[in-house]
Amino acid sequence: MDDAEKAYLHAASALIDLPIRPEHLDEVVAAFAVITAQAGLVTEFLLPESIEAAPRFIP
Amino acid sequence: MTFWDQSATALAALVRSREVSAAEILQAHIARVEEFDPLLNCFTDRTFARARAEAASVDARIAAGEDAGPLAGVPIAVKNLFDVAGLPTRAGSKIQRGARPARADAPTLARLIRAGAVLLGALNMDEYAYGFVTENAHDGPTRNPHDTARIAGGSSGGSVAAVAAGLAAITLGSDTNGSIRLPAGLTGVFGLKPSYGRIDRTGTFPFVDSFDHLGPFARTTADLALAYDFLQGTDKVSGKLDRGVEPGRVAVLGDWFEHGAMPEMLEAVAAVAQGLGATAKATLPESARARAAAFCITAFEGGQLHKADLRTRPEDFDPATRPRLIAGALQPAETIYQAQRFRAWYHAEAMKVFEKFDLLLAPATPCTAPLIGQKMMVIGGAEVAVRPNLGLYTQPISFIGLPVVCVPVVSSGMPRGVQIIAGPGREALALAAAAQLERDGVVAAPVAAL
Repeated sequence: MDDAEKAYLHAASALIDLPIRPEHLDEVVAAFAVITAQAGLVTEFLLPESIEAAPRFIP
Repeated sequence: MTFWDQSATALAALVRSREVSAAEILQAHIARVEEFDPLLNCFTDRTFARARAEAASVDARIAAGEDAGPLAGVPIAVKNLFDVAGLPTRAGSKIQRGARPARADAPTLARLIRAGAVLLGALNMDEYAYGFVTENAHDGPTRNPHDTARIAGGSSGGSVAAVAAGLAAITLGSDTNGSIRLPAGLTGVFGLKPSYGRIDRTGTFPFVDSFDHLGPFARTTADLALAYDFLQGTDKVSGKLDRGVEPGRVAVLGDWFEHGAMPEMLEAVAAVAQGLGATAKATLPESARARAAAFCITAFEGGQLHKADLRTRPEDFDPATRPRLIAGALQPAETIYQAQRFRAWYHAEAMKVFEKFDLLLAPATPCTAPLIGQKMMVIGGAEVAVRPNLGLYTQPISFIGLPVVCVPVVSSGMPRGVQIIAGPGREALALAAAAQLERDGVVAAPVAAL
């Protein structure tokens, strides 16, 4: 995981008040790296603008 | 006469015809649990006193000339994320076992009990259903009845092992990314993951709202269909098992669903295809991305669900679960939004495939059951981690909520499961295909030799 991703992880942790204990940091960094790799497959795919997100609010 | 190796349908027939009492059948299953569960570790809670009362009630109704129900005297058990009156719904966790006991059974469980079933207890699982191995840090691993050095799969590991070992005739589980189909395949039992939204999830501990499904396990297709009838209550599929399957409308899924699969798994798919007369191949495009999107949404929704406990008592989580939940909760919104948009796109692509075909076939897993504690395996020539990769072929399907029957293909060696995938709402067709294969001897789920 690069420095930008680590910086994001720490910033997000602080922003949503979900602290990462020092003894858990390595395992969370490793898990985030796996998720980030998977996320890349999703975000790099160009979807038509007409596609809406699957969950829909039905009043 | 032994009872633990008989189907639920056969057991209920014995009870309803007064040949055997529900109490006798129950006692045979209790003895089976007491003999083999110390080895297999399926049960986290035993409700034998309750079961004896329920069996006595069934026998009393029959003695009074009343209809005791189609599941009269059938011993069942549920994954421990289902509410069971009087028990905390632990969901495989240390944290929830301190929760207030459930006031009532989950409605799904209650429907089976009203149909005459008796509850033996609650069953082991991966913590919060976030896993494919049922190597639970708090409750220990559930062992595969076909080889106790190997995993039963997960997250419904206790549920499948109990059926495979003859400890219960029917069990219930849940499936978010493969947790019904994958362990069913690894232990050689029938499993049904219905369409998303088809079965009421009230009274079960949630994991990922976008993908959570409930469903049954059994050793025959008739039992699976009968359980499903009661779980959803409106579509009587058990009476439709003899409907024909049109061979030209069945296809084997290629590309993603073949890549990396061990030869014995591809042979199992070929056996099912041959049994159904299918020769066509089909492709669900971009399935690697579908799996990735499911992966990200799962981690995000699961992490958000448990954020309060992750913040205040992270040490109480299973070490296999904790880092994925924390990392998942911290994902950027862009990933989740795009993943949910991709879900709509992938669903539309799948619907195009179902214009040409009624049923699609794919392996349940890339391999047979790994060893307990095994960290790595080889898929497609590359060494990869076991835990996240067992669900490669199940995750894209639950991502878009399609109904699937996982069938155990007759073979030597460890069990191998095949997914029979139908279009939304077409559970009856997938069950009919499974029943046809069962009649023809292509698939079967005998009790494991212990």
